[in-house]
Amino acid sequence: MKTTFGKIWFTPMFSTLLTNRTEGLALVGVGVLQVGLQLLGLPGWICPFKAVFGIPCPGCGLTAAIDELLHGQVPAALHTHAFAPIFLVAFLVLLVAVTLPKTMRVRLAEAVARMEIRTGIAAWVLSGLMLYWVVRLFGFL
Amino acid sequence: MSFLSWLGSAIALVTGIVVLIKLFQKEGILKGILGLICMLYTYIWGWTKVKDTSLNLKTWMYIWTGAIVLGIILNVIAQSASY
Repeated sequence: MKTTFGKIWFTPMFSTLLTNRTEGLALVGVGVLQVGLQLLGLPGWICPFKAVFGIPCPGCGLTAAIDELLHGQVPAALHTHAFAPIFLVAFLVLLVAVTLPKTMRVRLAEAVARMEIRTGIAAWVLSGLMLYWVVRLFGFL
Repeated sequence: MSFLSWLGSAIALVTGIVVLIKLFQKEGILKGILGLICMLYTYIWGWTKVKDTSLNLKTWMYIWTGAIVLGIILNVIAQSASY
């Protein structure tokens, strides 16, 4: 029997984004816009956390890192944000999902949900990202 | 001008936190943490749920969007003035 912590840790999260087409389309659209603006050297989403406190949030640098990944600059991308490859893969899976017909999208989401329930990968990635943020923060301070 | 820009960002942050709390309540801890990591996701989530009257998101999302737009305009004005 899973504890409450276990239930939370192994709860599917990413698969729910794949199921909801509206949310998926919005995420894909904004993601393309954000990276597109970065590629053009234009300002994109302004992180309110960083704007107010001057401290980067856990996600700050992802856009720049994905830009570097798309240019094949893998070491530079990992230095900018180590989780960029994971988010790029997640974005690509989401992109595929929103283009699929409903039955195939649901099957993809179910497969991803099974993986999430078995491995707790969403929780591992998110908690790893928070830990990475804390480590980077001490580097900035 | 830079204070106004900061104020716009502060309003955006406060409204973002309100929406983030609703995200935690509605979608659970993992999606809440995703929203905390990337406020852009919180912003997108807010707009996708704006028609859900139980969440009362409309006003907050309008304020948040207004604060973002104000911040952009003030930044552009500040950059133009510096040239």
